[in-house]
Amino acid sequence: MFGMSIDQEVFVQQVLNGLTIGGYLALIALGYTMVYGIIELINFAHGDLFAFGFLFSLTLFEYFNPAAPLTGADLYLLLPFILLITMAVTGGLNVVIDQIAYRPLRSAPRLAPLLTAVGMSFALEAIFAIWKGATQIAYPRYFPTKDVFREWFDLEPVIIFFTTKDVFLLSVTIPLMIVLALFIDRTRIGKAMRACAQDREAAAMMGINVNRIISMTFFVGGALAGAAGLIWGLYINSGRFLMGFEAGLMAFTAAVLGGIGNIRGAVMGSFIIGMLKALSDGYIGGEWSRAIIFGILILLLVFRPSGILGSTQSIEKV
Amino acid sequence: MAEKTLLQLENVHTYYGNIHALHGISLHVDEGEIVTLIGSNGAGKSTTIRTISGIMHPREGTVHFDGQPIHTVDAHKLVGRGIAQSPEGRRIFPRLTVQDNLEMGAYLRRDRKHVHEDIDNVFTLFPRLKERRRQYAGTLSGGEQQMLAIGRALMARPRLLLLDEPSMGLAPVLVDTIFDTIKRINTENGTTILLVEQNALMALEVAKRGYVLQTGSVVLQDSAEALLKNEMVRKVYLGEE
Amino acid sequence: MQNNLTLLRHRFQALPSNQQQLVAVGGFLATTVVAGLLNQVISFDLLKLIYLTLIFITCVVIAQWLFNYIQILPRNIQIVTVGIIALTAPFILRELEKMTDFGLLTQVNRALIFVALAQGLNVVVGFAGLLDLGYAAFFAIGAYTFGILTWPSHDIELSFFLAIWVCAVVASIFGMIIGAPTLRLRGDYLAIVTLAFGEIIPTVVRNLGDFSFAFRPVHYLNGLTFIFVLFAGWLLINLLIRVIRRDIVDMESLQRDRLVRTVAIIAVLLIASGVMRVIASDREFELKSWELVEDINLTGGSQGLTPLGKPSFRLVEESFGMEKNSLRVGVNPTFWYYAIIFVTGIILVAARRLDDSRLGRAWKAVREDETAADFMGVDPIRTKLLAFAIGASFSGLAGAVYASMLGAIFPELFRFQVSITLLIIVVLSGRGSVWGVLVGGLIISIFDGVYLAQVLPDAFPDEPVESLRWVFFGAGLLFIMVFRPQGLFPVRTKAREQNQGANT
Repeated sequence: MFGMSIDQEVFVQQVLNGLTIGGYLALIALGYTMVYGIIELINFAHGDLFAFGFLFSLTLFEYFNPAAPLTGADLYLLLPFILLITMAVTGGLNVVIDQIAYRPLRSAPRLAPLLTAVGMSFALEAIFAIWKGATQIAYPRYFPTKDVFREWFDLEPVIIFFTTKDVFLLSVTIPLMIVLALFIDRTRIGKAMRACAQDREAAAMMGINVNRIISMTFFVGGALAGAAGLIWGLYINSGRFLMGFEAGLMAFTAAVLGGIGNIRGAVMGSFIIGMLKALSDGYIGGEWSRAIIFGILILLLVFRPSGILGSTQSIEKV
Repeated sequence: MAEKTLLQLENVHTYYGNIHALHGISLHVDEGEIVTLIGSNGAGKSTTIRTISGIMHPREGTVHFDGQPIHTVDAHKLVGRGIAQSPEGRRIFPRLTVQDNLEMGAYLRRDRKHVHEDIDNVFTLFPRLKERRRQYAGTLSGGEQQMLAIGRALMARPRLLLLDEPSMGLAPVLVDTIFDTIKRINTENGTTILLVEQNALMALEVAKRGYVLQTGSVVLQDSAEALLKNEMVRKVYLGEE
Repeated sequence: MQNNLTLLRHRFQALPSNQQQLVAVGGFLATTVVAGLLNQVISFDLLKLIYLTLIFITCVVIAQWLFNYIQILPRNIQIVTVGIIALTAPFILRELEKMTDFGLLTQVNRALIFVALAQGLNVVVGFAGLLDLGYAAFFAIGAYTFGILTWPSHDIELSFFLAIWVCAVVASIFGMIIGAPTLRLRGDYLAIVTLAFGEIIPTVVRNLGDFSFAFRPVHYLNGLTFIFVLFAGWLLINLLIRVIRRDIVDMESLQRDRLVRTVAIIAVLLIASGVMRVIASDREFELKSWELVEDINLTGGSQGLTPLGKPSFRLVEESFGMEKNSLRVGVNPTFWYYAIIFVTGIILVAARRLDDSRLGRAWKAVREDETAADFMGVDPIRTKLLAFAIGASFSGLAGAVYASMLGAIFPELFRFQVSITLLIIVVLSGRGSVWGVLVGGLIISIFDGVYLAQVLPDAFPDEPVESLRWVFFGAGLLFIMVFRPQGLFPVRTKAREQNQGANT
């Protein structure tokens, strides 16, 4: 295709993979970075919300039991409906987690909420294992799969495989990111979130109900993670109770890479990590991807201690 | 006829953890006046302000605003009742624009049209801010930040404005401007002002009455003119021999 | 809710310290009741759980009274009492085991290993204030070094008594290597880098099991080796510059330092790519040379290494004319108890002495204010590196003993959960408190290994109690942190500072 050699096609395929990985990672990373921005907490349980989104949306699909692949009204009405419900419930769960595990510790030493977050993450994983079993879970192929290049454009690539599922993934994740960016940038609540992130006490002096803004931040972050979980389900078609840990770790690395607390940084970091993962999966071997990604994270932090877009001001000690 | 009491503190005790910061402060502010609290570092001036605005709650004693007890009300709710403040150290939002900072000051107000009018009013009061309205507040100079902090507090259309050390760290020329503006806010809008200052001379010149705080207690209270003449005040706070 | 909690906390903090501890431990276990309720409301025998919880609380309380009582005794009596308890413990535990059917002594051994590990982490987190989320990496390095040195197939089979010290040294070298790139980082970024290392080490361990080069395509090899050469080279240069040139003070030399490093990295890059080119240009040469090391199995991959070396007393056996291997200890828990008590004892004494040493004060200075410490003449870089090195050496030692005791190691033993459990031990016991971490580590590990892993499943065979382990831990941590942010057994002076810090 386009006169590309096989090697070049392999490369393009990896870049496309990187884009899709980056897309869903970004949705998770945004939640990490928003929560960190506002209460300086690494919300370890956040990755598990992604797993929750996966499991919960699967339950919803099982409840409505549409025929796979989805067609007609199922595709245009039921799918968005399930997406919205999943986002709302996952967001709600994140708010509840904050109320139970982090809010009582707002004035405790900073290590304490960090550790309850980790404990919360493990607890959620245990609950998921009891809920849906500890084995690999199949997610039916609800989304219709068509090869974009071959069936839509009549092109004949040898290797490249880019389907409607990839299009779906990108067409949900990217608009969500844009909507979020506009929300944070333009709206009154978004500005209040930024104000709280910069100075919580001063924000309270403005009449901003800081606790409510924090809850909203948890809600938005959770909703995005829930969306990512559903998208992953439709895209990869399998998962398990521990999937949140792995994805969370990657997303969190992405958030740090971009400069934690920075919305744009999280998106950028996610796409960088997505690319790195795809390229190292393709060229070096999937079993090393993790070590390579973390290695690069460490290298980057050594040269830019606050991430790519992070502010250079020193961060407070634990 | 005596003026209406807007703010009343009675026997207020506030603690930082186990540290007793305010030892039974009692004071009152009448509607429409400027009252100043003067005292040295650690006398409890800022703690008093923080207790009034609900950032801290007294362990003992009462705070009444407009006849209602407010000492258990959280800070963000008090803004809606008409108490706004320009806190110590200015505390503007450095990574929001000047305009956004002012809008945050009017966070609870729903009347968009009047909010925009008030933003224009603040810009008339502080023309420097208008030039920099699209800039991040963190890039402003200290004086401009102080103006922004005061302007931001005004955006809530408060009945009581709490000003904590508005002259701290500013060049003398700017100090004059700031105090002129404080006076203007009081006379033109009729806003009641509680002013905390280390610069006792300036504060007493604009204020009607004053309280002198020492280690968490009120040691002296009188009209501003009387305090300016008071020997102790002159010696300790105005630095005269 | 917030207000009620604050009020409750104030009331709680007014209590004397020992009552606080009682309430806290009780609350910790009461949460297990709540969690149990949540689990399965209808079919759950709640009374049994409460009953079991009470027994555990009683044990803890007795242990705590004992601890408090010993503290007020004169020093030499203290030593004698502790010594007697420590020496007779295995026999008492053996008797208890017969009565209760639970594996107690092995769990106490494991708990003591965890105490040793937690002491190392306490040096890093408690003394020096460096948040380490990947501490299990050093544990893994200690254990795997021991494994590599004593696994029969590697034909090294070093003696146990020698190998454990080698492990400590290797772990401390890794501590410095891992510490070096984190020196400029603060707070959460430091946590992330240590977490990353904690994840890299098991990944590497898992992948070094079937490390056969010959069957891999060329670019695989190139990419991998390239990255490792680059990484290793960078670390070495970094270490050299940072440790040797301690005298960098002015901006100019700082910039020169950065320049030197950049140039050095470019040089390493060039050399590495040159080497790669040589290898890649001659495919046959490359394949041939790699075939020599084709089936190297350093770490056993995900299966792990087994069997591992046990302490043997060949010298004693020979000199007393005993039969060969007659003193071989195998898995006898009583022997291991004494071995572990010995090693943990050494670590405790070391930690105690470090706490009061010049270096200990330097750590605390860096913890409280790095910049100020720097101005006082404390070199923060050296101080932090030493914290990492010493902390790692403790866990290298503990890891080696653990590996030998188990006789088998595999990557799953050194998961993220281990790092977190250790952090929970340090935080719950009271950061920076050597005796606190000893007592807290014992209580928490035994709670985990005996109560959660044996007593509860035994009492509720049909319920998934053990998988709710982290619900218990999370709830307990939450509870204790709300009411006693300084930990259960804090350092006395530190308790005062932190109280103020938490409330302002």
